[in-house]
Amino acid sequence: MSEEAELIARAAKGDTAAFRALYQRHRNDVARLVYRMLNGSADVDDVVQEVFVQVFRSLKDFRGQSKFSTWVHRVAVNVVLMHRRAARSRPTYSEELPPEHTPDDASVLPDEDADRRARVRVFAALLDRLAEKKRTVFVLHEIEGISPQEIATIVGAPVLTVRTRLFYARRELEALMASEPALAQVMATFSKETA
Amino acid sequence: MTKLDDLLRDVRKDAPTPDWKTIDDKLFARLEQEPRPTATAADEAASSSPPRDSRGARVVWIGASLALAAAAAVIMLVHPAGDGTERAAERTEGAGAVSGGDVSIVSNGKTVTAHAGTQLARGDRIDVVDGTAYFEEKGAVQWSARGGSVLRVEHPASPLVLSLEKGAAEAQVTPVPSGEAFAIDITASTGSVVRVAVHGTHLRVARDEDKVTIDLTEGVVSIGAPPRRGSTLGTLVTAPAHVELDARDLSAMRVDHASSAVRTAEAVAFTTTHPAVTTTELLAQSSQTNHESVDPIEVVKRPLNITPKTNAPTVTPPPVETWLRSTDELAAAIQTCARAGVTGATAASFATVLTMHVGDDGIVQSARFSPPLHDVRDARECAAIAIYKRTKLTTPGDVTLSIDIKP
Repeated sequence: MSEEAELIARAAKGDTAAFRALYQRHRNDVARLVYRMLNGSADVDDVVQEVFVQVFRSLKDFRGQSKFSTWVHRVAVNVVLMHRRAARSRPTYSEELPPEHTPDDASVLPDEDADRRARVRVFAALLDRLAEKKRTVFVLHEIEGISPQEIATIVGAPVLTVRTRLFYARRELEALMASEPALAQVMATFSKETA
Repeated sequence: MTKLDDLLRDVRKDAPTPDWKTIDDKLFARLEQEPRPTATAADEAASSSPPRDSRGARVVWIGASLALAAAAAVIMLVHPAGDGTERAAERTEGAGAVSGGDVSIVSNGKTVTAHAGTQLARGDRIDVVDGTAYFEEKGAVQWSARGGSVLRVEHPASPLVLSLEKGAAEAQVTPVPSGEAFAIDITASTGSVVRVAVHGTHLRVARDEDKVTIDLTEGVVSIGAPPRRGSTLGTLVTAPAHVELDARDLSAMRVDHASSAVRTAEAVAFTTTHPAVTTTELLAQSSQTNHESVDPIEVVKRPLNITPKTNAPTVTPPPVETWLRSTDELAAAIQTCARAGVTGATAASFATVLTMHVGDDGIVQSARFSPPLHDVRDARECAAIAIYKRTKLTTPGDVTLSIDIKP
C-alpha cells in the first residue's frame, strides 16, 4: 500500500493526523483551482475550507478508482459549482454596484507589469462569462494543465464531451477577446492548442 | 504582439497565496465538530489498539478511551441493563425513535440492538437487519426502511435530515407552515450530495450506488444540493412523480408524472391495522376533487389515512379565488409570494426565470426557477402552491416566464 493510500485509509477512519497530512499535500492545488473557478472572489478561503470538509465527510466513499488528486479535484469542482449557484440565487441589493470591470484602464496604466495584470483581470472577467460547464473544462485544461481524460473523470462526462466543451469554450473566448480593447492584440487562436 | 500563451502563463501565475493559518484553524475546528466515520466491525477490531504512527492520535485515543470508560461507568450506575434504554439520555431532540422492526444502531462506534422506543441521536447509523423497520418523530414524520438499508441521522428536527447510504426509505411527512420538515441526503461516490427536501408529502427514496429513485405519491419535494442554511436549492417536483437521477450529475434527472410509473405507497407507521394505500387510491382521492369547484389546495392539505396525525401543524395556503389562467397572473402571484417572503429585508430586488412544462389539461407538470427562490423566506412553498395547485393555463407545452421581484 502506498503512503498516500495508507493516509487515505487512516483518514477515512477518522484519523485527523492522517487527514491533515493529505490536506497539506493537496491544499495548494485545491486553492489554485478554487481561485480560478471563482474568478478571484473573496469567498475563496471559505470555499477551500468547504472543499476539505466535504473531502473529510466523503473519504469513506473514495474507492480508489481514480487518483486521489483527481477525486479531490472532483469534490472541489462540485463545491465551487454549488457555491456559484448559491451566490447567483442570493438577492442583489439595489444599492450594490456591479463588480469592477474597467478594461479601458489598461491604456492608462504606467508600466508593463500593471498592463499585464490588467489583461489578466479582463481575461478572467471574460472567462467568467462562459457557461459553467465550458468554463470548468477550460480552467482545468488550459490553466491547470489537466488532460481531457482526467477532466472527464473530474466532471463525470465522456472525454468526447470534454473536448467538445473545450472547443466551444475556446471559440467563445476568441469572440469575446476580439471585442475587448485590452485583449484585441492577443491574436493567437485557441484552435492551434492541443486538446 | 502578446501571444495567447503568454497571457495564459500570466493567468497561471496570478494566484495569491491564501491565508492558510486562518483556513487551517477554521477547517480543523469544523472537523472537530464532524461526526467520526462509522466504524465497521472489522474497523472496530482494528481500532482496539491505538495508532502506532501518530503520537497526537495516540493521545487522542487514550483520552477518548478514558472518556468512554467514564461514560460507561455512569451508564452502568444508572441503567445496569445495557439493552438500549440508556440511549434515552443521549437522545437528540427531534431525531425520532424506533417504533418497530429489527434494527441495530451504531452510535459512537458502539452497536445497540434497538427496539420500540429506542431513541435516535445525531450521528447514529441505522442498520435495518431484516424485514421492515419503522421510525417516528411524533407529530412530524413517520418513516420506514426495508432490511439491508443503511441510514444515518445527519441532523435532528427542522428539518430532520437522514443520509441514505444504502437501500430505501419511505416517509410520510406532516406539512409545516414554513421551511422544510424532512430531508434525505444521498452522497454520491464523487462526494457531492443530493438532497430530497420535503415540505409535507409521502415519498420513497431508494438508491443503488449512485442511481437514485424517488417515488412521490403526494405533495411537493425539492431536489438539489443541500444548502448551508435555509431551503434547498433545486428542482421542484410535484406528485404523482417517479424520478430517476444520478447522484453524481443532477442534470440527467428524469421525471415521469404518469401515475402508472409511481411505485405503490406503503404504510410507514408500525401498525397492522392500516392497509397499504395504493397510488391508484391516492389518485382516486385526488380526482374526487373537482378542480373547477373545490379549493385545489385541499389536495395538499388532505392527510393520508395510513398516518393519522394529531397536533400537527397545517399549511396555511393563500386564499384561492379562481384559477390563475395566464402567465401574467401567475407571475403576479409569485411576486406576491416573494414579497411576503422577504419581509424585513429592505431594498432587495431579485430576477428569476421560471421554466414550466404545462400538460394538455393546463396544469403545470414541472417547474424550475433559475436562479431559484433561495434566501427568500417561505416564498418557495407559496410559489409551488401557486404553480402546481392554483394555475391552469390555456396553452400546453413548455412555457418560460421572466419574473422581477422588487420591494
